[in-house]
Amino acid sequence: MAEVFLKNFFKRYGEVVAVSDVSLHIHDKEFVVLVGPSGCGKSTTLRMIAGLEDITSGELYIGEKQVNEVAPKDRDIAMVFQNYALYPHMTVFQNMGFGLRLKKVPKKEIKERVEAAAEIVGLTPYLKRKPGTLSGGQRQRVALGRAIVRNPKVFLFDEPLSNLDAKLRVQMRMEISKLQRTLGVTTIYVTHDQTEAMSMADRIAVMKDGVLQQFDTPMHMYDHPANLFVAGFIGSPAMNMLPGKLDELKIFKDASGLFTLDLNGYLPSSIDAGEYVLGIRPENIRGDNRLNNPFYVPIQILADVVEPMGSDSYLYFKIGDISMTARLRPETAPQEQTAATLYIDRSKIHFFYAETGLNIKN
Amino acid sequence: MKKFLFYILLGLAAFAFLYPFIWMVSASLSEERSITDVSLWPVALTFDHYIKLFENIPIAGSFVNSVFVATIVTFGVLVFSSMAGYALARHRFKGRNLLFYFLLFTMTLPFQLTLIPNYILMVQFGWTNSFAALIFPGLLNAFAILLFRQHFLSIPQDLIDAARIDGCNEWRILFQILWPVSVPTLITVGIITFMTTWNDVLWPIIVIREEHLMTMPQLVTLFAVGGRSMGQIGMKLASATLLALPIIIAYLIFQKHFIQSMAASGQKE
Repeated sequence: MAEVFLKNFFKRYGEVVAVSDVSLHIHDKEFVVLVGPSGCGKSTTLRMIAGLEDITSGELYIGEKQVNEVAPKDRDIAMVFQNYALYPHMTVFQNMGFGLRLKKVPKKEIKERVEAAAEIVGLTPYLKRKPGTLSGGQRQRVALGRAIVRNPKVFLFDEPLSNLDAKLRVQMRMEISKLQRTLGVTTIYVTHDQTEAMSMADRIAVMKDGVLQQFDTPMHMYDHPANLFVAGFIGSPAMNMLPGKLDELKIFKDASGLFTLDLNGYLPSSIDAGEYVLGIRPENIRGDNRLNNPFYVPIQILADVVEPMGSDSYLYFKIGDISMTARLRPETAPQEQTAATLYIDRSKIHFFYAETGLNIKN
Repeated sequence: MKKFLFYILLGLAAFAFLYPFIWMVSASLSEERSITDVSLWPVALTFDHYIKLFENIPIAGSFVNSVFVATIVTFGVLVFSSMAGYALARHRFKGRNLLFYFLLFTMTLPFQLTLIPNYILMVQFGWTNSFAALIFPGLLNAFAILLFRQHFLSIPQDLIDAARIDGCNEWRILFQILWPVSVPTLITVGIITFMTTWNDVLWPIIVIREEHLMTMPQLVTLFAVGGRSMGQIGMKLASATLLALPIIIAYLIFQKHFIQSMAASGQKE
């Protein structure tokens, strides 16, 4: 097992900078998820770790060893791809044992290791089948088995669940997490799905435009997003963002002037008056205030659309031109197209500089 | 009723295409006097033309030469064109697109244009009157490279990456991973190359003089138009039948792929 250390990673394609100065120190046995929108450089970073892309500049260490110039096969990694990347002309057994065969591992050992891996991923009855005869979930298990068989120092996953249906995705998500904990292999996992990132990772690295935005534990990142991008990307439904001005008395007034919030005592005293963006998570807007919580501030809204989700309801409304979402207990949700009072929990607000997008607490 | 008429029409069209071939075979098995008949069946069945043909020219040897040349060229085209196609599809290097467009450009040049320069090259290399002159110029083929490039572009990059992580070098990736998933393209390129090489007459006539090195189409053409058939149509038809036979047999075996490859070569134009 091993630590992985990315030091000042850059990837350039001519004039285009795909990855810019990314540094990550991933601990032994840690499960790190690289997350971000399409084109943010997360897959390129993973491919550089795998050795499938050259590192334009920067250093990569796996364990103690710098591996910038080491061939993919010699980096002691295993990779699982989005579309499984199984060899269609080989059986499941041959697919799983192919890497070992090329390493000239004795046949008897290959058989033992493949059978053991097949047992772990529940593929023992399918070893003689070709990938074409398997379902999507089974194929992804073969890809997992192929990775396990190599007994690598690091697992790399490149959006492995994207081709699966929603139900299977949840199941496989759980299985991969469990497997990683059982095997204790350092894992780097790429996804664009923040739910996957939140539910699987020990730590999440959020990327945008090739730049690392924040590298943190899921809950700390959720509660303390470094900037507006992270705040909007992590969490579903996304955080509500209200641009506006803060005056000397710490009264926040949104751009439309329709919404004011007294934040005196809820913001650091050092903060100056000026332009800011107020962030409120949907679950921090309540439908009632039965306990007369002093943090809660009432606001009058017109309920636009209500989406009942079972355990809770999503209420969509507007403050000025800004669309907002509240996540309410179903019994507190108002009727659509009616006026209603909602309560904002002032103790849970986030505050960002409008100019830089950075969290004021940074 | 409409369908019935349609089939009648199709049947007539098929007959119009098939008739010359059937007549050729039947006439080659008929007595010389009866060849002018338009019968579909041999008149006074005889194998004389074939016997005389084998007595007059080394047709069996030329058949072996043709098989040898067409097989080597086909195998060479599959290996070298797939290598070039793979490099153009999956490797990043300076001038890759320029090289590809240049390759496409060469496809627009008629064979006749490169005939003389190629011949001079063969003379310079000292390859005239040898199989080398028949084999080497055919080993790379722009159309085959194009087909392989397009096919390899359709294969997910992940498959190649997985092979690389498993420890494959470029040779293994191409021949152990990509070839097995490219069988239809290999068959298409194989059939087109084999047929083109088999049927080629002009180039062998230019570079081969000695009879024992001649390919079958070359020998049969020289025999049919060169006076050695002694004006006997039956012998000419027998030689033409023998020439067509391997392609007909190949067609029966690879019928499905033949049609696909013809469709592919149609796209070329």
